[in-house]
Amino acid sequence: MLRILLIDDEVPLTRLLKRALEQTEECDVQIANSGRQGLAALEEFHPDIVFLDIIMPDMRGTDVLAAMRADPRFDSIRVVFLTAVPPHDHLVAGEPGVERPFPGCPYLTKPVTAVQALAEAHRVMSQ
Amino acid sequence: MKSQPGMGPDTMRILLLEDDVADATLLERSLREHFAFDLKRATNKQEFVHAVQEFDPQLILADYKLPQMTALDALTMLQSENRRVPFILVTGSPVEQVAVDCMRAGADDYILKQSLARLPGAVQNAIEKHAALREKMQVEDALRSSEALYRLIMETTRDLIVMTDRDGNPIYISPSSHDLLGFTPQELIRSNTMCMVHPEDQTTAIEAFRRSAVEFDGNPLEIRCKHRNGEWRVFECMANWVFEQEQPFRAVLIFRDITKRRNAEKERELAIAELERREQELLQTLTALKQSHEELEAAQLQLIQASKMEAVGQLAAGVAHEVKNPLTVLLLGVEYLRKHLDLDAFETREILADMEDSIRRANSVVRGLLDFSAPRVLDRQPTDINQTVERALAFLKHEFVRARVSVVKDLDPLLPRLSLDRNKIEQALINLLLNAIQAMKAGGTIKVRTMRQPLAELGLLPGLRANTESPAEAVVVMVEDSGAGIPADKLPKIFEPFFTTKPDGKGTGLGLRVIQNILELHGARIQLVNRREGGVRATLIFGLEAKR
Repeated sequence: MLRILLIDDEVPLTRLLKRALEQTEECDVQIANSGRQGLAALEEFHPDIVFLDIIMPDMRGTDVLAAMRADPRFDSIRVVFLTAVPPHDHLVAGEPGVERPFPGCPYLTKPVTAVQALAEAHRVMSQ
Repeated sequence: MKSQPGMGPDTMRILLLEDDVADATLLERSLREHFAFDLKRATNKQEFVHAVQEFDPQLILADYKLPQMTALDALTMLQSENRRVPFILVTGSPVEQVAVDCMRAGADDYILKQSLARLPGAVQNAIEKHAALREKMQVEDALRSSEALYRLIMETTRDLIVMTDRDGNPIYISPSSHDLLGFTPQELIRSNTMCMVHPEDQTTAIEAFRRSAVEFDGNPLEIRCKHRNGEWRVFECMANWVFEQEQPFRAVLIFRDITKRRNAEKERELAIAELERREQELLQTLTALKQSHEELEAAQLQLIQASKMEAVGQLAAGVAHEVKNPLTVLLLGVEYLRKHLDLDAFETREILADMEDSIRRANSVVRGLLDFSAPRVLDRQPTDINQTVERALAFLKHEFVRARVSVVKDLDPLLPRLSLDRNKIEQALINLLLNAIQAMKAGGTIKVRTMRQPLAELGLLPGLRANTESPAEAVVVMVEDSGAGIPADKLPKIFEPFFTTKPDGKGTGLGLRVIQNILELHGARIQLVNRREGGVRATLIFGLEAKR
């Protein structure tokens, strides 16, 4: 079973995606609806992969990722950004000249289907 | 009118200064048979003075000794009045000294009363002598006045007049030399005048002088001469020759100082040159101004455009975030329902398909805005353009089916790899193919070709860059549809943002602009033309490095 942590403040989205993914019977999905909840969930859940929203009220997904990379317990967990706006377009790359904090980090652009999300999860895990 | 004495029918006026009546009679008689004349006799000083004034005598015969005066007094008086009248002393006393004094005082002759027979001859001589004298004086007067005229000319002319001998040695130099050259004529005549001529002009001057003796040349010669103060003066020089026995004898050289004129001409030329230079400068400034004005306008437009873009970008990001989350929920919901509803019912399938289609359409609008305002940063990698084409086609395969569009591929397998941001190029191709699909409402064919082409066959393409300044070859992606084509009046506008030919709600007017932006970032170009057979041909042109 693939252990997936969904960190996204859009509650219906996480609920639907969790349900759809779990119906495949390939995944065990846990939800966190804020950045802090997400970081807390990491300690108990030990996911294989994290789907991480970027724009959240309490902290940005990029900050969550930075915190994970700074913690040796979580720094090898795979992360896929789940974002409304492609990170290299706006949120991560930002203005020209601002370095991308996580070059090469995979991402899915909303809207996504559960099929896409699962396919991406398998792709990332196989790397 | 008074006649010449002894020459015409008119009588001569003779004044006789004699107090003795008998002597007077004798004297008159001795002349009567030789001359015709009027005679007036004065016997004292008063009568003499009066007669000289009134009678205006042409000959005076005078005794020496008279009451109150002598003949010498009479002569003195005439001379003091500057009257030149033939005067003959006729005296009874042969005193040598008297005769000598009178002759010295201007008397023409003297006759003793004892030898009056000599009188007519003496009268004749005196008259002739005076006539000759008068004539000589007239000639001298004429000469004097003509000489005075020439002297006046010579001495007042501002030109320098030099008279030389045959060999050019000055004989006369006009006083104007002092003003013109700083030397008096005497100083010049004594010195070697050729030394004053500018060394470069000396040979010309000598040759011109020699030639002027042989043939008259109306053109003045220009030579430079040095003033005593060291300044060079420019002279215009003319030579005229005086010939004697058909040989050149004297040359009259006239030098006119044209220094001021020359300087003025030079100044004028300089002023004109300066004016022309300034005009050129002005024109250049004007051109530069126009250019910078245009650049400013362009920069202003770019700024406006950039700030619009930034605003659109911010708006797009905000909208994307707010819209895409609900869209995701909807999409996930549709996906879920597909699995759990009775899909045997056609209506259910149709409703779900319509819902999914609407979600994707809403998403594509947001996506278009995001793409349009995306920052201009490329993530270039060596890319097989054919793979990118294949991915774009694969992405749209459902769209092709739905729109009943068949795709014909003709991809050149031997194309070189290009340095591209493959995601952006894929996005451009997807936009282009979507346009093609939407242009064919009743279905049709899309032909996609890739090939390598010499640039010369593609015509002029400003802005096309490869790694070299001017690529000679290009890799070309051609997308041809069989739709209706673009109306001719719309062609110039198709790249304008928010311009669309699609019905309301079907297009954002950003697709082609996004394609163009992406291609420009790559230094590539897009051309759109209506095909003669119908439909549109879009050509994406990627310049290639020149062959090594």
